Amino acid sequence: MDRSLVLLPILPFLGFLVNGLLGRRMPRWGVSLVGCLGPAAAALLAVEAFREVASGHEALTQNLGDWIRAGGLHVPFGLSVDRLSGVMLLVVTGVGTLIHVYSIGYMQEDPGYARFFAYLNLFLAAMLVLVLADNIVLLFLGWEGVGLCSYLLIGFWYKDLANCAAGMKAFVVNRIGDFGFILGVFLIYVTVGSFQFTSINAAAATTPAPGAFFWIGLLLFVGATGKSAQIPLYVWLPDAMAGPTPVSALIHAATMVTSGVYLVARLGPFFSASGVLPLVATIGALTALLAALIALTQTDIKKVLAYSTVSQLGYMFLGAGVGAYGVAVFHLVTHAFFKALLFLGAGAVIHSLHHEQDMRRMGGLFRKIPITGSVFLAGALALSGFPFTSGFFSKDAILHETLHGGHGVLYAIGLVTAVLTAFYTFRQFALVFLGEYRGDEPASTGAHGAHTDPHSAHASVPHASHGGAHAAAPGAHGGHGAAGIHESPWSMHVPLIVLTALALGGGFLNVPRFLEGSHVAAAGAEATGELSGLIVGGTAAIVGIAAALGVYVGAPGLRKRYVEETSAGRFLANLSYNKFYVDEAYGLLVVKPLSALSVLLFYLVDRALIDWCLVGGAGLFVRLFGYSLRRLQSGHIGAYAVLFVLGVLGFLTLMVWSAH
Amino acid sequence: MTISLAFCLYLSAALFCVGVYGVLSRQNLILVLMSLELMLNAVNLSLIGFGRAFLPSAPADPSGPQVFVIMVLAVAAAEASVGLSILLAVFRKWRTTHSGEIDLLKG
Amino acid sequence: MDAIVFHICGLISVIAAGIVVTRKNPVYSTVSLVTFFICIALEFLILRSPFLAVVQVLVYAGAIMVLFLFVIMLLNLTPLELKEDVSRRRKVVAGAISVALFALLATAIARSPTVRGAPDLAAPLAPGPLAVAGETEAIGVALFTTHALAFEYSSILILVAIVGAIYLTKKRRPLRAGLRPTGLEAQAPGTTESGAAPAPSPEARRAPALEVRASP
Repeated sequence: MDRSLVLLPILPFLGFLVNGLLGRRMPRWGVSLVGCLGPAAAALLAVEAFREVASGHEALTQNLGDWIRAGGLHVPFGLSVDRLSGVMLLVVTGVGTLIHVYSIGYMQEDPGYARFFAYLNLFLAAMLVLVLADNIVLLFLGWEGVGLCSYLLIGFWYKDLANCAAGMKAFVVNRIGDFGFILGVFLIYVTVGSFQFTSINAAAATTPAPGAFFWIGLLLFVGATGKSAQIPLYVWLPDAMAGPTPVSALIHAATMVTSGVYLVARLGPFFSASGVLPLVATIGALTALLAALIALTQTDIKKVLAYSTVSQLGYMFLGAGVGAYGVAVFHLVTHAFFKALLFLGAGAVIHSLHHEQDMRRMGGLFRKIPITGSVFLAGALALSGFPFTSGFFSKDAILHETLHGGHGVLYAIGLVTAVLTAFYTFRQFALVFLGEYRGDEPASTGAHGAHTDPHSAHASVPHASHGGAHAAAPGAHGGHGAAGIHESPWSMHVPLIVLTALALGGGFLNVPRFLEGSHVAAAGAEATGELSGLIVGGTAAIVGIAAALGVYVGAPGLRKRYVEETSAGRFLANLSYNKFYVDEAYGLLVVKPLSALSVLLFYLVDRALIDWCLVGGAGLFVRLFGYSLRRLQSGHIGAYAVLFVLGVLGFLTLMVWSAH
Repeated sequence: MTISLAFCLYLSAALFCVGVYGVLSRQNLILVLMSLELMLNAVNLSLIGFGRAFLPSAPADPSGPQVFVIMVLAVAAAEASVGLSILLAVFRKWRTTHSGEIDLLKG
Repeated sequence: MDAIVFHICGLISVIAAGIVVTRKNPVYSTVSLVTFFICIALEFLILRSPFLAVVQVLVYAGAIMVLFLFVIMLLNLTPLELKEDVSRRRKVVAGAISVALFALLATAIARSPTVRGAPDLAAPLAPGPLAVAGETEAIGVALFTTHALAFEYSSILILVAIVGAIYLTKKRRPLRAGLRPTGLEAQAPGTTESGAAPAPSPEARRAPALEVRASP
C-alpha cells in the first residue's frame, strides 16, 4: 500500500482529464462511468489504507521525490497516511463517491454534464492531495486546488452573472485567508526550518514556545477561517449556494470546508503549544452562535443549510480550541454524514419541485415525496443532536470537553446554540414537509389554502406585503405542468439511504478513541462522556425540536403575536434575516475603499505615470535624440572634418591627462 | 645660442595647428589640400628634430628618422595627387570646388 | 649662427603658413606654400639632414606644388566661384579648435622630461656614423637594408596613387555608334565632347546670374 498512495489522487485526476477533454463527445453513460469510477476506486484504496493503519501500522508513507528544490529549501512530494488522514480519507472518498452517484441523477438534464463531473473529480483529487500531504506546502497545493474547484463549481452555471459573482466572492475571500496561511508557512520555515508535519509538531515540544509560534498559529488559523468559513471570513459560504446542490453537499459541507479543521488537528501539538487555541475556541463558539441566529429566519432552503454548516464548523473549532482534536474530528465525520444527507435531500426536494428553492412556497411535501422526507428527517434529527444519532454523540462530546476544560462561557454559548440548531432545523423541516403546500405546482392542493394558512405569513415579517400575494401569483415556477411533484430517480435515492444509515448510526463509531493512538487526540478520548452531559445535550435538542414544531405546526398565533407584531420582534427578525448586515459592512469598509483606491491608482499611476510619462516620455526622448543626431549628418564634409578633429583632440587630451 | 628641442617641437606644433585651422575653415578644397601639406611638413620637422636630438643614444639605426620622413614624403605626394584627381573629377561633375555644395551625403 | 638662422626660418615659416590658410586666391597660397617649403628645407639643413633638405625642395616645391598649380590653372575658377562664404561661427570654431590643439601639444611638450633633457640641437656632432646619418649614402643604405620593407610598401603606394590619379581624371568619351557601353561610361556623362550639358544640381543651386564656364 505504501507504494500506491499516489494512486489515490491520480485516479480521480485521470477522470478529470478524460471527462474534461473528451467528455463532450462521450455518451452520457460513459461520462457517468468515468466520473464515478475514479472516486470509487479511490474509495477502495482508502479502505485498504485505512485497514492497514487501523491494524497497527504507524503510518503509510510514500515519497515521490522532490517537488521544489531551491538552494537549501526543499519540499518533497510526500504522501502519508496515519489514523487521522485515514479517517479523513474514508470520509472524503466515501461521501465523495456517494455524491458523485447522486449527481448522475441530479444533473441529468444539464448540458454541462461532462464538465461537472470533470470539475468534481478534480476537486476530489485536490482534496486527496490535501489530506495525504505530509508537509504543509504540499497541503497548500491541495488547499489551493480545492479553492479553485470551489470557484469553478460555484460559478458552474456561468451564464448567470450572479453565480459568477458568487464564485468570485468565494475565491477572493478564500484568498485573504490564504495570504495569512502563506505568511504562516514562511514563518514556519524561518523558525522551525522544515515543512514536514512531523518536524513542526516535534518543534512544539520546545519549551518555552517562542513567540513566533503564536503568530504562526494565528496566521494559519486565519487561513483556516477563510477555508472553513469562520468569523470574519465566512461570508462566501452562503453565496456559494449558487452552485449546484451536489457541489454544496460535497464541497461546502463535507469536505473542503473541513480542511481548516483538518489543518488544526494535523498540527494539534503545535497549536496546543502556540497559545492561539483560546482564540480559536472563542471564534468557533461565536461563529456557531452568529450563524445559528441568522439561520433562524432564512427562507431559502439551501441558505439555512449553509448557515448551519458555518455554525457546525464553529462547533468543530470550538472543540479543537479546547484541545480536543479527536472530538472535533469526530464531529467533522458525523457532520459530513448528516449535512451531506441534508443537502442531498434538499437537492431532491428542489429537483422534485422543478428548481423551487424558496421554503415559503413549499409545505406538506411529506405526503408527496415520503422517501425524501424520511431521509431529510433523519438528517434533521442528527443535526439537532437528537439522542443516539451521530450528531448527538459528537456535539455532546464537544460540549463536554468544553465544560471540562473550564470554559464555562463557551459552554453556555455552545449549549444555547445547540437549542437554536434544533429549532431552525425543525423549522425548516416543518416548513418544507409539514402543513399545507403553498407553492404553485399543479397536483398540489395548497395553492388556495394560502390565505387561511398562517404559515404563508410566517416568513413575511420583512415582507409583510407579500402575505397575500402567493395565491394570486400565477405559476411562476410551475413551468413543468403535467409532471407535478414526484420522487427523484433511484440514483439519487441510493446515496441518500446510505447516508441516512451513517447519519443515524455513525455515532457509535467512536472516532476519538480510534484517534487516540495518533498524536491527534491529546485530550477528549471519551466519546461516551459523562451521563449528565449526555442528558443535558439530549434535552437541549428535544427542547429545540419541540419549540420549533410548536411554533410552526402547532400554534402559529404565537409567532404572529411575539415576532410580527412587536417592534422588538420585528427588529430582531430583520437583523437576522439580513445576516446582521455583515456583507454590507464589508462592502462599505473594505470593498468601497479598495475600489476607490484602484480607480485612483488607475488615473494616477497607470494613465499619468506610465502612459504619459514613461511610455510617452521614452518616445519623446528617442525622438528628440534622433532629431538632434540627425542634424549631425549634414553631408557637409567641413563639418565632418571638425568632428573628426574634435575626436582627435579629445583622445589626445585623454592621453596627456593619463600620462601626467 | 642653442636650438632646444622644445623650440623645435613648439614650432612644429604651431605649424601643425595652423594647418588644422586651414583644413577646418576653408571651403575651397584645393586650399584644404594645401593645408594638409602644411600639417605633414610640420610632422616631418618634428621627426627630424627628434632624430637630431636622440641619435647619440640610438646608434643601431642612425638614419631611422630620415627614412621615416621619406616615407611621410611619399605618402604626402601620393595623397596630394590622388586628392587632386578626385577634386578634378568632382569638378567635372558638379562644376564647383566648394565643400559646402558637395553634400550628397546629407542625411 | 645655426641657431639664429633656425629661429628666423621658424618665424618665416609660421608667417608663410598663416598666409597659406587665409588667402582667397589659391595662387597666392601656393606661392606662400613654396616659401614655407623652402624654410622647412633650410631647417632640415641646419638639423644635419642635407639629403632631406634637397629632397624636400625637389619633391614638394618642385613636384607637388607644380601639381597644385596645374590643377588651379585647369580649374580656371572665376573670382565669383572663388568667393567663399564661410560663416563667422565656423571660423571661430576652427580657430578655437586649433588653439586648443596647440595648447594640448604645448602642455605635452612642456611636461615631458625627455624633451627637457634633450641635448642642444645645434651642437656639433662627433665624427662617426651619427655624423653622417643624414647623408645620402647612409640613408640609402638604411633604406635598402634595415627599412627595405617600408621602401617596398611605399613604392606600391606610389603605384596605387598613379593608377588612381590616372583613372579618376580619365575623360569619359561618349559612345561611338555601334559600341556597347560599359557601366563606367554610362555613369559619367558630364563631358563636353558630346556637347551635353553637365549635371544640373549644382547649377540649380547657383544663382542664375552666374556665368558658368564649361571646363575644357
